[in-house]
Amino acid sequence: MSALSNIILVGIGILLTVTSLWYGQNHHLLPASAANSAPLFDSLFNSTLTIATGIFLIVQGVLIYTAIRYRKRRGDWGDGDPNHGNVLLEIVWTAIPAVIILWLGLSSLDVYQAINGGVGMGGHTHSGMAASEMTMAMEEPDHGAADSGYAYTPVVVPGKEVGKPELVVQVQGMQYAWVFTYPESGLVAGELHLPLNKRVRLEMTALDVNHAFWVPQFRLKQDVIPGRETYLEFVPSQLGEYPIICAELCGPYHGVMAGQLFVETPEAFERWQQEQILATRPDDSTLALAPQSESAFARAQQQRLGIPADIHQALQQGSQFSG
Amino acid sequence: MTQLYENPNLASASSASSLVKIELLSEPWWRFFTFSTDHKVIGIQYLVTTFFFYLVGGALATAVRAELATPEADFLGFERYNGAFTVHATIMIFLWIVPALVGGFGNYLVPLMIGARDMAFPKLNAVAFWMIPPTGILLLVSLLTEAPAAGWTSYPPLSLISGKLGEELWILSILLGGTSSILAAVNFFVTILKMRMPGMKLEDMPLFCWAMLATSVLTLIATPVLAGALILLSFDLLAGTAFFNPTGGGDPVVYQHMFWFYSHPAVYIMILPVFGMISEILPVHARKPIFAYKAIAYSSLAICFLGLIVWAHHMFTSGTPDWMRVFFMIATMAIAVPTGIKVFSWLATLWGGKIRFTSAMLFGMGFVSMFVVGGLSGIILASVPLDIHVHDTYFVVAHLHYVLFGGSVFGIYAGLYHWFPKMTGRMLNEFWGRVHFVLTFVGFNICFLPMHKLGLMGMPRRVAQYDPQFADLNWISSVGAFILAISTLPFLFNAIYSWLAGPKAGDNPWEALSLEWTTTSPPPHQNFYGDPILLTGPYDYGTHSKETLDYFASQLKTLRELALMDTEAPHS
Ligand code: HEM
Ligand SMILES: [Cu+2]
Ligand SMILES: [Cu+2]
Repeated sequence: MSALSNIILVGIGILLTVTSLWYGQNHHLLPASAANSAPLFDSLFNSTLTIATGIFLIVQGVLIYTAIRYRKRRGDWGDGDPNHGNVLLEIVWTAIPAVIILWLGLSSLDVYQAINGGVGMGGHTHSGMAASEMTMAMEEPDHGAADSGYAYTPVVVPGKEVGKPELVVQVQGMQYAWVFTYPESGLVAGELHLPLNKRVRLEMTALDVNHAFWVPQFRLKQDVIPGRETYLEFVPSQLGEYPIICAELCGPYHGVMAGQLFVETPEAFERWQQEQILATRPDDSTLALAPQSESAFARAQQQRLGIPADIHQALQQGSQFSG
Repeated sequence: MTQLYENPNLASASSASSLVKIELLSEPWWRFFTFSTDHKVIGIQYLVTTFFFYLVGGALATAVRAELATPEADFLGFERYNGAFTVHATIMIFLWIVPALVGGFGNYLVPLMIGARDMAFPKLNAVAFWMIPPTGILLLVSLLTEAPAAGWTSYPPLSLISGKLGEELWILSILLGGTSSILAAVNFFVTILKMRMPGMKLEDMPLFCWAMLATSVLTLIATPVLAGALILLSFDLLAGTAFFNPTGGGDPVVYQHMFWFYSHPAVYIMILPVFGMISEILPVHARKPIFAYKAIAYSSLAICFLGLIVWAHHMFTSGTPDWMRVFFMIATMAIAVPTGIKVFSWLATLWGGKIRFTSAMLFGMGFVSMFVVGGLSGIILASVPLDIHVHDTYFVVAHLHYVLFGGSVFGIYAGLYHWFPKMTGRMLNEFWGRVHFVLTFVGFNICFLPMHKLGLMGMPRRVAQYDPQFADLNWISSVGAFILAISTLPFLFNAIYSWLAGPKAGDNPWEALSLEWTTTSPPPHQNFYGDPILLTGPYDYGTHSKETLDYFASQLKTLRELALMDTEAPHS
């Protein structure tokens, strides 16, 4: 190789690295983040995207280069160079991806643990259900009711515990609405209000079919499954209003099964809670939203339960579309 | 190779014999509508039938994108939208990509490539094909009566409550299609292991045959589990049992495990044969030996093995225990290594070649380019924390289309342009082939590239109506889809016209070296005249002089004429 081609190669390498690094930081592919753990996601995503961009550019670059440099010239019907292997090269392009994968695997593990703080984001079947014994043996002991007796048994790597949740909210998904119950106050609401910078635990189940609870700004998603309880834990870190999106197909109106999430200062959160409790006292809002055996279409649901005003609204929104 | 010179017929033949001119009887068109046991007829039956379903699936896709062109659900409406995408996906997977690759190309090419006269079990082969039309009819009936609407994944409990008739038709259709797949896989497995011509070792086989071997193993292990899942789902649906139905104590997540135990391997069933075809097509048109034959061959087996132990990466948000998420994440990422080996080997195959930009080559290189994008988004999906955000969003839709459309469909088109002359004896028009490629490539990227961003920004998949903030990108994507719809037309007309009246192809229009090009186009009923002869290795480009190759070709011709004379005038 001549000095010139060496220089060109180094130049291309630098350009490639710079472009990938730049794109990894400036992709504008994600909404603003609003939970404590979201920046961890973002930095892992950015580095992965940086590497992916690099690989993308190399492969497309080589393709374009070969297409130009090694195109058949006019009148030349001969064959190319009969070279059919190079062990060193093969070792290199096996080893480099392997190293990248190892890095990505380890950092994913790290981020995953940090995000869920060693608490299973999974879930378990309700006790008494067929498969529960097995699942439970592998998970933490039954969480039972909303008492403080949570036992953290990180499955992945022990020792990465985080604080206990300061607020527990029970979430129920049904065709096509979310219902949130605050066990401490007994409040039942159609919107999720959360205090800023407090660790929240969502205990979720579905009344009819699978749903999934997704807040893109939190980078968190968890399926909500009938007959099972699943969990999410996070710390909201930005005031604001965020969409709660159902991400698991749950019927024709799946696309309009949206909820609202408000992250408020602890004072505003308290105020909201008091107002709601006052507003709903006549109905005795500690009503149990027991799992329904058949599919609970929003309208039927609405009639069966004497639901407070704002849920009413949420449900009506769902049923509007089905009407 | 020496075998040619040892052939006793050839030794005794004088050059005078080449004066004998024998017209080949071309077989009549209607044999394509019969229960033929000829693997070539069956292969073409598969390809034509599945292409028809591709058009149906494509029409549904166009309807889906028309709905999504604007945020409101104002084109199909909510209910019909779910039916449309469910049937679209089911058709594309079970009636287009799987049967076109395995049944179509697999059938046509494997016996020719290994020098066999037919598949090991020709009747079984025909039976497997004739299960495909009813599979499609069941699905189309469901579309006309009560379309299944729970997605191609058909998760309970939703699939149990969204219409019994449509769901049951869907189940029956897949069961039939799955049975057909299993029968075909048995056939390939035995054919490849037992029917190779004398002297051809496994490591002499063209790489497409390695890919088909791996594909058959995957099919045989995985498909029965899908059948099991669907039969249990049927019981829940019709008899009110509670295998998966939580109201009776069943567990819907068990269905997900069973479904993906098949359906992850299924994505490799849909790509391994394409890997194989690309490994055939690139060397021919780049005029270079395939780079790293052994690495490509064994990476197919590695992918086959790893592909069986990664299914739960589709369930990272399903309440899957942590240890499982970690295990499946690592296993999934590991697949990137053998996949990378293939991609880099293809690039090295092109490097230093004399690339002929035929339509087959354009689609072949287009495949490499697009598949890599799908592979890279796959790596992102494999990481548990990253997948938790993008699972079930448009990001996944982008990923799967880059691998299935940019990968499998581009590969199928490459294969069609490459082997059409062999199958029909006629050339496709290259100009319209290029038009087809450009429209497909441009339309494809306009349609699917924006979906990555849509998913990351917060648009879930399988929705008829969406947040207006996503309107612009969706509109662009729909424009791309319409370009894609139009892009099929040049191909369709080109294929029909060329089949009837295209220029004659001759035995070997691409000057290729694998065995299928040593016989006539189309090949005779028994594939070869006399015994097939390995003149060169399948990838010996650049190692034989033009004179040698011409000499081989003329010797082949002589042998063919001798064989024909033998059959014409048996033992006077
Ligand atoms: C480097 C290789 C690949 C990796 C690491 C990979 C990884 C993944 C992962 C983790 C998912 C699940 C995403 C989710 O639902 O959240 C997924 C989905 C999918 N992949 Fe891949 N993939 C790869 C290649 C392929 C190939 C070759 C195909 C098919 C030819 C394919 C087809 C699909 C399909 C159809 C889905 C969506 C299934 C659905 O939910 O409907 N992938 N991929
Ligand atoms: Cu939903
Ligand atoms: Cu998969």
